[in-house]
Amino acid sequence: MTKTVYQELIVPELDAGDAGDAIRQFGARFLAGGFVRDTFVAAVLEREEKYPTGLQLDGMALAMPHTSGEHVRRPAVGVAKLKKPVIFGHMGDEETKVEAEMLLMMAIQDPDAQVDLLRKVMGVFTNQEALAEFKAAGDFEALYAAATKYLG
Amino acid sequence: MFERRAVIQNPSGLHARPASQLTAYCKKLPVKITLLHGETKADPKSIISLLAAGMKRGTEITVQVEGENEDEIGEGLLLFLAQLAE
Repeated sequence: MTKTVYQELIVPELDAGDAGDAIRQFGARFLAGGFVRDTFVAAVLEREEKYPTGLQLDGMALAMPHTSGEHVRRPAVGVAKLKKPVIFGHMGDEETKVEAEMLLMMAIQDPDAQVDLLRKVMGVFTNQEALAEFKAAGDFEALYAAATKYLG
Repeated sequence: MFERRAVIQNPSGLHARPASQLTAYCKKLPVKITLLHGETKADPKSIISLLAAGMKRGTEITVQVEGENEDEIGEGLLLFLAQLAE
């Protein structure tokens, strides 16, 4: 399977004021690492406005901001834990908001790969053992280890 | 029960955006809906269930609808699925 987890896209504490701030800060790492084009962040923000990516799981809320493959240079998945929860709209439910504690930002070119990744993410974060590892990850090493183990 | 076979036609499959649209559509329907693919059963009213099913373009599914006006609602759902775009 193509490598998608990279150290430079693991953030154990992202301090963001709101969803847009979180996406801009995290997206900047993707751009700096050469994973995406300079249109990526704006495209993610636009998409998040129309089709929010927040999810309330059993034990954690997260968000999965992303956009279409034309803005991507190399596939990658980033994991950032938020210093304080940030409000995102809930995917598929326009009336519900979630207080996301974690971001999974995805830069995926192949649509089939996106479907596969989303399936994997759902499998991971509905698994209480895996969820506990991510929640407990208090530093870079622990978060990178969890991301590599479950998403790499 | 309304039951029909369908094929996921959206070019990128049921990734986040079309899955979100499908969930939003199904949540408004006062019936029980199940999408079957092999051993997989997805509740399209749950975005998590739908994404966990990982349905790509070309996936053959069985659409089941149970409840009042199930035939009419089922036909409408098939049309919605067929028209899902990127």
